[in-house]
Amino acid sequence: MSRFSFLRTTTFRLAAFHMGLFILSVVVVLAVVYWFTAGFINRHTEETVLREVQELSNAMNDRGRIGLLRLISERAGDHRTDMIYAVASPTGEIIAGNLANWPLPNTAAGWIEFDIKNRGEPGRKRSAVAIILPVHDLGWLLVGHDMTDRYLLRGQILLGMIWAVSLALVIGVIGAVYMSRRVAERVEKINRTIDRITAGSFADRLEVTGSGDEIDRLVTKLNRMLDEIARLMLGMRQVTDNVAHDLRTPLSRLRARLELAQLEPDLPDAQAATLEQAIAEIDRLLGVFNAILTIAAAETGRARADFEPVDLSALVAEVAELYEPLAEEKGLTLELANADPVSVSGSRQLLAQLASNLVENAVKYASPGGHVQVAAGHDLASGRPLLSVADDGPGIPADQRDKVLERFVRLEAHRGTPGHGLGLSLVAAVARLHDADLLLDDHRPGMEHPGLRVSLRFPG
Amino acid sequence: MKILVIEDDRATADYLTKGLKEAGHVVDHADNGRDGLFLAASEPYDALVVDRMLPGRDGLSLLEVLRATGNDTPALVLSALGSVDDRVKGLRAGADDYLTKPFAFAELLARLEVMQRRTKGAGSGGPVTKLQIADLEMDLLARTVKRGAKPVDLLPREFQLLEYLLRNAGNVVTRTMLLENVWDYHFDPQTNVIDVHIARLRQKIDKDHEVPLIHTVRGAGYSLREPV
Repeated sequence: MSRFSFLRTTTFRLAAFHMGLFILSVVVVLAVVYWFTAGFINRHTEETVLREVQELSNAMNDRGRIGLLRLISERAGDHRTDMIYAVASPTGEIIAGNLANWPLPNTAAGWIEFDIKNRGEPGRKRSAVAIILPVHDLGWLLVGHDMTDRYLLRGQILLGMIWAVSLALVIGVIGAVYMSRRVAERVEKINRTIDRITAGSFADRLEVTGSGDEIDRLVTKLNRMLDEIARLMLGMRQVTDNVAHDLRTPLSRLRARLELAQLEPDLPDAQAATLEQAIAEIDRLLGVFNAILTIAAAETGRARADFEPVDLSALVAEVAELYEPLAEEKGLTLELANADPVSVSGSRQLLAQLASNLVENAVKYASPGGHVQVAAGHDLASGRPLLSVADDGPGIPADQRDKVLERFVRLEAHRGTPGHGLGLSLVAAVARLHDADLLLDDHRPGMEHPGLRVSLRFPG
Repeated sequence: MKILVIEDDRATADYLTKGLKEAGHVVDHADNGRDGLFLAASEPYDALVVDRMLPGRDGLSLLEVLRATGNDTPALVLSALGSVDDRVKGLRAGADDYLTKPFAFAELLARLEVMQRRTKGAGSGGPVTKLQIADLEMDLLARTVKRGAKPVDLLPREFQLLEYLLRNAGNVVTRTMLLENVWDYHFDPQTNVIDVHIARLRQKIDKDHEVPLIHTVRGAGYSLREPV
């Protein structure tokens, strides 16, 4: 598993999705909290200011301008107060209150927010909210509240919330990575075991952790499935072995009887010929039978357990050498291209049988005086080990190529030639056993005799 | 040869017994593993023919027991199982040769005779460096072949083929035996590629010579032998 591949895992995506939802809800909750706390501070300030205005207006009503100014002086004189009071002339000169300068050049009635200079500690900027009202015969009245502490509190609340969200995000990410890693590692372990099992060690089973979680339940079921497959494979093996034994034994006896009959002295020629033909027929039948058993054995994948490194270049050279005299006898040129040494993991016997089947076919179908090309090397495009056998015979039409890989299929055009129609199915089965891609195509596209090229690309 | 046939199938056993007797051998027969093991252990035989699936005790475990007691009578295992790993298991258990049923009697006979020869020859001193029959000479060290005074130029595989024929000179070797021992292939090609190889070898060995050394044995295989 590469270092960051867990980012692609389902668990990580799920965890990230849930984390996203969680963070979103945290943000919503905190937004609501902020709305209420900060809103409360503002409302509370406004209420306080308005209550003060009410008291001042009562004083004005009861005792007139003097009463108002006296009350303002009294209130503004208290150094601990957070309230701000100011009375100004219509031109903006301060008449009374605890404000040094009138905050606005153009005065109008209504709520304002402004900065106070030089109140309390000099040099420190303070914020305030205030209401400005016109006062009859006097000018303007400003009643406000120093907001510095409250804004500070609001800022702290906001900061706290940002911290809370960030921490939640960090914890969430760590949690998601940890969880997805843990699950990804378990899944990866299962993958590796399955790879080993498909590679041939059928006795292996997936590990159950005992936690009883959904992965454990899945693994238990997979193990049960593997047991079932093993049972079926054993059954299959027993069936083929039994068929092999049960059918081959009577054939064996039949062949033996005919052979004993051949030993009789003074056998008339006609009967001797019949016996010989009968034995040849049995041998042909047995050839079919052996091919089926080999295909069946290759298809169970049992042979994978005995895979060994096979020198593909040497193997094709040997097979080419085996068939070279036969090709020469038929007037064909057998060309071998294996300059690029290559080896694969596989069964030497089955690969040799595969190559031998392909060369046999190529020699059988090549045009008189033509060529058969046998090659082993690395595929130019993918770099994978490649084995190919090509001839310059009639080839196989594109729409029939899949068909010829099936068992017992022989193309109409070739009915007359000897063979049992299992050669290419055996090639296909052996290719599957080796996880090799089998490709049939035209050797010389566009020509009258396009020829057949069979190529196998092994896992790199 | 004195041969013990351990085979439970009556028809096959009869046929083996009859055929081997006709070929001039002395034959004993056991129809189960227990009796077979008892006979093989108590009497001296030149060769054993053992069926793999036997009642009482299967053929492979019989061989293992026999080999464990130090008895190394050459044994040929007969089996209906023909796959490569079955064959390997058979050879590992102590079989000297392995033949898949059904087989041609000529094949069995040729293998028994070659097996017998191999065991007999094993005790005859140091390694052989020269093989010879009539005026055909093979030098295994120099890798050269001469027929009479004339050197014969052989390809490496032809050399191996001739070497196998020479080592078993006088015996019949079948096409399957050649494919197994010279090419190490345990499958039967559909066409008779071996015949073409023999024809080529014949061209080089017997052409221009009055006395042919490579003979075709009808229904069996080939034999390299001196004219009688």
